[in-house]
Amino acid sequence: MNKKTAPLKRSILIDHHELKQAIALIRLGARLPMLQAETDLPYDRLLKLYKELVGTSPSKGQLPSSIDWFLVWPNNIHASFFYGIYICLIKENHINGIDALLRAYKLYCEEISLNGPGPILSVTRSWYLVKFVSNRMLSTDRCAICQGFFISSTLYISDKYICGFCAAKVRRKKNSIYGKFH
Amino acid sequence: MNLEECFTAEISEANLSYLILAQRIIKHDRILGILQLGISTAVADLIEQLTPYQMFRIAASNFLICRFHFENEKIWQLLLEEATKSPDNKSGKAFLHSKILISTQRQETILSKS
Repeated sequence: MNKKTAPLKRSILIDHHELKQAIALIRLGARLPMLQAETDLPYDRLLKLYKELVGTSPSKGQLPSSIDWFLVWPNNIHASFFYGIYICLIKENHINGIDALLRAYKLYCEEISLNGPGPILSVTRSWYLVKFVSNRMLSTDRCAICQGFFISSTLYISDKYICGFCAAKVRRKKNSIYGKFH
Repeated sequence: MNLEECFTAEISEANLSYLILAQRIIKHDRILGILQLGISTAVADLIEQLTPYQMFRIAASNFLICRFHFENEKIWQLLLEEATKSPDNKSGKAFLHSKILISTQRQETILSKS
């Protein structure tokens, strides 16, 4: 987009909407690069907004963007859970983009703090997750044992995917047969 | 009042409170309501428009109008596993597993519709 002409065309309503989105994102812990990517608001305004809401300057440096992070044990479960909510929201209500992400993330946090161990996934990570899946760097796979959908790597070699829960059970059984030696 | 009449009365009472709750949730936040209640958008539209009298008439029935969100045996086993643990010893594993299976089931019903 041509940045020089953007301020002239800017609609007040869209501006207001984007500001609201940015506020919601900052409250959930989003960092500046993500805000810049998702809204058309100028950088200095976002910076001011961030400082006003959080009280400190935003942390600098790259966003955590590793694909492998989503495949390790507790993270994978949280990512799969979040993605399940996100997909349901999108498919049923025909909402998309950052709105769906915000809603899904809020729901994820509520659910996980209600009964479970508390959220592991940050907004930034969940945002990356959605991007990775839509760009086919990650995919969802069905567990052969419990039939649940889980986030998995597209480079997975075996055609039979087994999720972390079920794999743990299988391992436990094996250990009980063969003793502690692997 | 014998036991069967008692059950009928309680069922219609449960129906009415379910309908009222469902309508309140949908009116407050439609998108969230559809996910939480596990209903389709078309049904959500209808429930939203019900008048109190209509709700009362619909609720007066021998059958429950709502049913379990999931009927997968595995999900129930997991939920039970989590519920029987003492509150200090919660790992949340079974809880998370059940949640993933629930959302999987939901995705399947959405896919089968479309």
